[in-house]
Amino acid sequence: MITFDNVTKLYQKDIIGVKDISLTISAGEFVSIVGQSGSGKTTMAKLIIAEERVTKGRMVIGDWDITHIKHGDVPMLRRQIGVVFQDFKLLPRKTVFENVAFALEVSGATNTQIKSVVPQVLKIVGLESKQDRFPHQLSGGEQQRVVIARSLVHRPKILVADEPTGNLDSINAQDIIDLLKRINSFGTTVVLVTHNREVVNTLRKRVITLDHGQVIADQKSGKYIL
Amino acid sequence: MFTSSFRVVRFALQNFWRDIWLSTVTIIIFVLAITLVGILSGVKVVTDQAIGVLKSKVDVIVTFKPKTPEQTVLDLKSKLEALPETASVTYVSAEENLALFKKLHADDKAITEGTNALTSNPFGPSLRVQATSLEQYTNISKLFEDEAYAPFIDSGGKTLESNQTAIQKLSDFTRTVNKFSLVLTLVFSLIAILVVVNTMRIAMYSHREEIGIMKLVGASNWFVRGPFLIESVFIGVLAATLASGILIGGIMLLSRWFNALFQGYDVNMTAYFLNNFMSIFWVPLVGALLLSMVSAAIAVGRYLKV
Repeated sequence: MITFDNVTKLYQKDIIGVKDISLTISAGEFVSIVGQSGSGKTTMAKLIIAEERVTKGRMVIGDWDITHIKHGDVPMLRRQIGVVFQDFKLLPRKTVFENVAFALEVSGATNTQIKSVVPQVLKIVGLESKQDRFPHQLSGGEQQRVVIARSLVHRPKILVADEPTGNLDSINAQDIIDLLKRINSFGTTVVLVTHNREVVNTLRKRVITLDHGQVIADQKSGKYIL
Repeated sequence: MFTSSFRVVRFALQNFWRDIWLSTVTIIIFVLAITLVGILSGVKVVTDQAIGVLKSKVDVIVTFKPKTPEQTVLDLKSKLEALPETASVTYVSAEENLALFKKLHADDKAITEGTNALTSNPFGPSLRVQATSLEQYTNISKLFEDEAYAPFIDSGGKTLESNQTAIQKLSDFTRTVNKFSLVLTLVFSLIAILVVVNTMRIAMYSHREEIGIMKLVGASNWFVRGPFLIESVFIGVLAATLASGILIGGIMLLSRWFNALFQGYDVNMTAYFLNNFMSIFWVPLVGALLLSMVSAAIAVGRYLKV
């Protein structure tokens, strides 16, 4: 599903993002990428959604070699991947419904499809009663659930969650992790980037540990080892 | 394509309305900039008209000695009319000059009695010459120095010299006023353009995160840029309409003053402005539209590289 083949990402020639990473994430897996700040976790997430380009090596998503992806093809790639961010990244001038619908609108879904699918997804994340609210009228946990709904609505095969619990209290954080597990149980590949030890240890899923841009451990059912 | 276009327009309307304060402030700044340029253009038009009136009042009167043969005067008249620098030549006979003198001094008893006592006409005929421009009087006056006419011209040379100084001063003054008003209009147009472009840049800067989010969710550049461009069109149209309304309202209010200013001359400022209504409306509209769209497109482009 996702292949990093000897991938190196350098910033400004000599600042290492990630170095010589080779790994494969299979379809339907739940993978946690852990490491300290600056270890290259977010760079990996950014490489998957082509927010950053590979300096050396090869990257494949599904059957698509995105190593030298054209700028015009990036929107097409992103429509096939759901992304959840630590700082939510909701559109402030759109309601909950409109934020979720936006992911479908960009891919050209019809209004009938949007009216049918968005309420279903909002129900999954428990926000069906708050669909007309604006982001600033929601709590942090609710905002993150809107982001998850937006990342799910176009039924992506991959969901990349970059520190999704970073701005949440422990109860809301657990809710979000439960939601990610549920999404994974439907067959979606989930890549969770985190430095939350508790979350990683309770998941008992595959853990890839990074240090200074390199993979130092890849455990099938691992724990936070740093 | 139709659904996408419809969505782009809907997003633009939504953004415009949901960020009504930013939209209002942007429109107000646009209106002020367009109105300022409009006022300066209007001042330039009024100045041009006033200078035109002033220029039309300038002429040279060549007075002939009494008993100058009429044929000599008419001969000079024909030669003057043949010059490309001449706009018009009017022949005034000796009798007409006397009648005009009497009319001018009708209230002065002593002069009236004196002229009534005259047994012969002390006035000669004259020619009233108007040039196509102030600069041409020097060329025209060369003809007065011709041997065939100079002996018949009554102190013409002296009058012409003093006239020429006045004409030169007037010519210099009008040229300076024209240059000044043109430079002023250009400078303020440039300021207005910079203000509009910067306003749009600030508006787009405040939406930079939104633009980045749209891109991360999978929106194409067109889908992101479209609503902002359409929104800039709304702003441009509204601002130009308001500014035109203000300018036309101002013209209506000042029309009485304009007409009083040019009373007695062949100038009607209200009619001038109303006849040029379309250019007063369309020029700011097209200008504001182009400016807001181009500056919005450039400003959005900076944040699309996500």
